[in-house]
Amino acid sequence: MNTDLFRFTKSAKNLNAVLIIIPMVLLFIGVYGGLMQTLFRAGIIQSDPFVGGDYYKGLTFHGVLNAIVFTTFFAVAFGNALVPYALKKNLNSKIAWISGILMLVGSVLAAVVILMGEATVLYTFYPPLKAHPLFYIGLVLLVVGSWIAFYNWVPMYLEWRKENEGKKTPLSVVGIFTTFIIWFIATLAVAVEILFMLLPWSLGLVDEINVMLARTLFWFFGHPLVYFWLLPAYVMYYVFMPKMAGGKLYSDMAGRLVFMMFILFSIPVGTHHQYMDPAIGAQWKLLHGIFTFAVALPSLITAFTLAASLEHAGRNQGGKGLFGWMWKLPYFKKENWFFPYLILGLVIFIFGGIGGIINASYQMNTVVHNTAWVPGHFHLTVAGPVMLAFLGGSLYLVGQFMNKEIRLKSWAMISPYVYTIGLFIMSYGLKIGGLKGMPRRTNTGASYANPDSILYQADWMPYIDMTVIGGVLMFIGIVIYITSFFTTVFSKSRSDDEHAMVTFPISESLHDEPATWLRNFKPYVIIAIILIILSYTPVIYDVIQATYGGSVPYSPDSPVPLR
Amino acid sequence: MGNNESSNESEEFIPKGAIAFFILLMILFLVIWFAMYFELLSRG
Repeated sequence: MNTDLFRFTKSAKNLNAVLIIIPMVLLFIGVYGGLMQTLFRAGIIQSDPFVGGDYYKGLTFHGVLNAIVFTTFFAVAFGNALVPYALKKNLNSKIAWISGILMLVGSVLAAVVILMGEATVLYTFYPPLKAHPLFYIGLVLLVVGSWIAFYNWVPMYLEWRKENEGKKTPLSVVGIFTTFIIWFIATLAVAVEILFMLLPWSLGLVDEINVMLARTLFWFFGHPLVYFWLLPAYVMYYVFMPKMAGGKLYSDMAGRLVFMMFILFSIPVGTHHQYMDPAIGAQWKLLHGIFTFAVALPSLITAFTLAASLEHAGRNQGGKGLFGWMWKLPYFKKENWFFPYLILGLVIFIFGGIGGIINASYQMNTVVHNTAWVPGHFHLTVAGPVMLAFLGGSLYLVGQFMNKEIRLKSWAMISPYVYTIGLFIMSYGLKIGGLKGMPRRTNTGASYANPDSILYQADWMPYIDMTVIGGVLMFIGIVIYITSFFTTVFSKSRSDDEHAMVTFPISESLHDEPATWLRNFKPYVIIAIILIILSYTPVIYDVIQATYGGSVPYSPDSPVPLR
Repeated sequence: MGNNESSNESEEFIPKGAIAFFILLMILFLVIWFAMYFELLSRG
């Protein structure tokens, strides 16, 4: 029997195809919103020509659809695919469908309410911005659906462990479980925020809301969310990429250590997003800053391990000298179209990673806080390695689960290059503009980029123009990808038995260390909970004790407060 | 036999290029970080 192939049930295959295709449509709406953002900020448009509404409505559906909806669907579909495949066990399709339907209903509810202009609260939904109750209910359904998907994998894993005593859990499963352990813990806080604060307030059951507590609960969730995005990409880097490159994973233990370190340090870090917030003691902000530096360590281990794995692949193909192996990797082979999505993501992440360290460096945060630097940074993470890996993964999954040959492979291969060039140009414009004082989350087109406004800033214009050029290139990259994706979806299925089976490019390990101390999640989860309690108890105490006045009134047309 | 080959392969391969790459990466990180630090200092 060929262990590289696994037969999924028809129901599981259909579900996974749905979980990839519908979010792809929502993703495209979100990407369109992203393009419009750059045009709004440059003052080229003042109202969305297709969807209607202002800059902030577009910013909301861009953020929610791309950063929350698309990523959550992909992570669930990826887990639904990889966990049964690696453990060679069938998915409980009934439970998986319940999870999928909840997520779909929730996402559509949230999307409709946003597009109707009833939830212009941006993706962070900070109060005092208030959304229609259906927006919050939609988000709850999306999260609960993803929890159910995770619980559905646990019995399969426990059964596998019983049958395979002493064997190491496949690295892909370790990665997926790490992703969802972090997701589960982090979403508990945002569930509390939504169910006990935002929803009753939106329904009119309570008049007031503790804004600082809501922000703190959001960031308890919001920064670990970054790792929920990033870890499925890490799974692809560790498990798929060495094989795609023609080599082996340099160290299996490094991959396992990295995932366990993420469990430990992903969550007690959220307050580094609140360095400028009142109410929280400086010492607790510093503690979260230190943990943020700790969570950079697994990414540095990853940088070395993946470089060593790629060097092994490059040398296998005749690469000589210190860096000659780099030129032997399959950057432009259309049969290996998936590889560019991963390698370009890693290149982007070099700059996204150091940007994150700068943001977390407490006083240095004052230089970049609330400026365009911040979206410049996070587009180099979530819209870089995460987006590219998820796009490549989606195309691969849809081919596997619909028994399709990938169509327009050259288009699929070239898309991440176009996108990456655009991303670098756009992020450079945002980052340097940010250092010059250009704000984030502000319709600069109505003020700072408007020559008729007294707020006009001529020296920001070259950077704003760069964001437009970069944004247009990114959009073109996505259009090229979407063309390949939907041409594949609507192409004729392969009907032979071999292609009815699913396969993934699972890499062998060059060093397959026993690493018995990395085989059990339990001690790492317990230590993570202790770290969370130690780091968040004083923060929550400070926030509840603090008193402060109400927010200053504002108008969406001007960044200047009304009084 | 297969195991011996695999073990020889892992013993022979020393990722010198990856070590050099990692050192360069750390230098790049330090340069960018200190550039921002001096930007902070320049603002007083």
